[in-house]
Amino acid sequence: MALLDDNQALPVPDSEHVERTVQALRKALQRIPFYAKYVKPPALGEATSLKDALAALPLLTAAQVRPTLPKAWLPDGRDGRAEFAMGKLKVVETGLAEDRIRLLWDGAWWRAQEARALRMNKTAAAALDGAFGAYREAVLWIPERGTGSCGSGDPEFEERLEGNRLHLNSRQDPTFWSEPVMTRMLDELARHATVGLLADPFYLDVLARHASAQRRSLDVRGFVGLTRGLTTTAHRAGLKAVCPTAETVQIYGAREAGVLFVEGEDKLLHHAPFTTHIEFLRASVPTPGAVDVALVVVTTLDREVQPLVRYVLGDLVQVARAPSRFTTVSPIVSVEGKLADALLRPDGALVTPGAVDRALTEASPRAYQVVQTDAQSVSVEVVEGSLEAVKAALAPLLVGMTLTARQATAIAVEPNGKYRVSRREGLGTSYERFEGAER
Amino acid sequence: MKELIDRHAASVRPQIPLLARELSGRPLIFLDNASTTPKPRQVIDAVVGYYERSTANVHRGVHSLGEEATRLFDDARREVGALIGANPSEIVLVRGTTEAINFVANGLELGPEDEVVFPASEHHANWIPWRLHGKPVPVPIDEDGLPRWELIEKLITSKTKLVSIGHVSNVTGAIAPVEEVVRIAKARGVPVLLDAAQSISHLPLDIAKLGVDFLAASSHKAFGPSGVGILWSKKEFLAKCPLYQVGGGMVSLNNDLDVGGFIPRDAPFKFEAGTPAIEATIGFGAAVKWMRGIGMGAIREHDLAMSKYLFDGLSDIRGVRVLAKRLPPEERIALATFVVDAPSMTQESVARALCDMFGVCVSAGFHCTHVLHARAQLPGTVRASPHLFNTTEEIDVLLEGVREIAS
Repeated sequence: MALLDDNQALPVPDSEHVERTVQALRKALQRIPFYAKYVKPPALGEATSLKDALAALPLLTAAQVRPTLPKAWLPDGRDGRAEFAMGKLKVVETGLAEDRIRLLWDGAWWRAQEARALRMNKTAAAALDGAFGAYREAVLWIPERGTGSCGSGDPEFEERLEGNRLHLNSRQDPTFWSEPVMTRMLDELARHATVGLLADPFYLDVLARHASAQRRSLDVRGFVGLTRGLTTTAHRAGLKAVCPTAETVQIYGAREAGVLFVEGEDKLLHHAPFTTHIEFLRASVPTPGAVDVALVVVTTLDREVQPLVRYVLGDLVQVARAPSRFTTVSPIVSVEGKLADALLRPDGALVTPGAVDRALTEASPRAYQVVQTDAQSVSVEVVEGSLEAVKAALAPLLVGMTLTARQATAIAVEPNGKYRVSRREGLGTSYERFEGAER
Repeated sequence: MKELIDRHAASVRPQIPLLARELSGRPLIFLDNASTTPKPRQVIDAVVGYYERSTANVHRGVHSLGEEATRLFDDARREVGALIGANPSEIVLVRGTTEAINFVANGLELGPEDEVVFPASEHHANWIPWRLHGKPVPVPIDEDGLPRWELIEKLITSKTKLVSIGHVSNVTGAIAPVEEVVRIAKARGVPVLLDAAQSISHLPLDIAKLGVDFLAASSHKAFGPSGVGILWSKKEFLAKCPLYQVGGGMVSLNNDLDVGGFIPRDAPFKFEAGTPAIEATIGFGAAVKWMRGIGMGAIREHDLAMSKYLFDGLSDIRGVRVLAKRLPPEERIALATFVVDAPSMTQESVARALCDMFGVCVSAGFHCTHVLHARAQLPGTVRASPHLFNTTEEIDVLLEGVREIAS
């Protein structure tokens, strides 16, 4: 099957997306012990349509995946022990404490689908094809190398190289990065002759501000892919100041499933072919500040190990009213953040983290975190910004709620190193606010 | 054995509120006591009681609340003194074991050639201070992480200014031969520091019997609040030990304008500048009182039986390497560090799986002992550290989980 067009620039549209999804469903349900043991799915006949197949299957959540071991996710006939020993597979974790799950990680699969998906963006495709020199990338996010609960030292440059990928970071929380560490990162971007930089926007923002203070720029020749977190207005402004030429590309991916959507030249995020099928469960309640909001449910198509069937990723998006490019899945306007982080108004409305950020565009704090602790109360911590302006900007979104604002010098990081611009403590999963997720 | 363990556990479990918690619908099984212990109701009540009824500063207030707070605070020091057989005037309240060891490292005024002998299995708290003050001389350890005590005599030289040992290893659970080490060191005129962080809530401690010169310990590993601990030393040392921090509360008279100096109070107060961790100290006192009420002998009885139950269970599981399992229960506490042969899962991932799947809380990583792990060629370990409230049923769940992951 050719996955790229003749000139290798762009992925071909998947005209068989629906059939491929049905096949993937059938294969996963037949071959993966987890589904037989825990889900007990109905058999899907040869003539079953995708719509009927999906309707017959329950949604899968992190809470169901969490108490399982990797062996529940290996297809029958695969010698997991041998593949682990060879390093072909490993176990990684993703998500925060309550949503943490263990994943079987096939690095080769990840890199292949990631490169394929990146090609949906023309600048990234050109970069991959050498338009900016030999393709070399750097990544900047929660460190994958050099961490440990009791420390294990900082790995050297060579130890942080993985093929043509350089892991820039080996320290958990950017709030505590020292100036020499950040300067080292800037130096290494140049030393690595970086063409593509893939970064968590919060982490990148800290580095960008250091670069700005040093009157330096980010030495990235091709593009900057923003991924793994919500890119705020302030992040964009900070990045633009130190990286004016490289194009920024929004990438929406999940370690569980691969790259789902990539930003195109039309500024919409288009669904990546061959890797997943996406269902959008539409919000059945008002979503002030955001339109056509949906909860993302994913079915993986080419994950041989740990394929996911109707898995609730927990992310919210704004679905675009535009035609699909590569599959039957609509493009999206934006990733709106986690459902678990969305604010729940007493009148039933749901305020997405994305809506909060758009509301704060003019107030423009450097950073902030909105926290809902009970049904009626929201507090916001503001770094470098006017409290009154922030409160005034948020008030229309938070009708019927008490809003308090406080100054802060930094935003708290989660134990795994992740930053959130919004969080909700307690108050349930709120799945019932989405069509088809009420069960 | 099971009956004894469960009888002891049943008698204290209702007093520890944390144990009623569930994790994802499963009962919490807390096996991370070497990191910190859960707190009994008596400790919680003591801390809350101070806030609710007696909030005031200590050794300053002349009003009723100040006097109440001071009495509660001073009682705690006396209670801790009784636990280890020490006079309260020889107990300096510090932030914890780490500060206590640093206190000694600073107080001995070691030069760069002054050597400190300690096992290479030690926690970083009993290693790094000797790099900063003096010169570290680690006693070699074997591939199981156990010190080769037979070598210590040769390592003590005329340059040795201190022997510093952990009473119980935070990795292997092995109990150090303290009295033998003291005999060897004393024969050479070298003082001995005992890091009792892991032993204070497991073993009966008697400083006179142990014969050490310094003892360091923390409250939070002994059912008390974090943020407070003790350094015990003899009056002679405390009298000549230099001050490392000064300020309010430690001054007898500030006559600086007259004579260009000040007169400090006597030990231990001269080392306790500033307002102390009052509520934590009161909670520490309540914790010690709680342990003494149960009896350290009874705690050790549970510990011995639990140690055997835990090690027997883990040793039976294929694909699990248990450190120092050859030690008899009498030479260890109920603390097992092990490696699960789960391909491609880090030991931290194993620990998280035990939590996610079975509600079992254990530690994983290097446990602040990089050198021990390097010597044992281990990229990390899992540590299960039960205590008095743990039941055999809980250990069975741990074993089931480890068995499941190792399979």
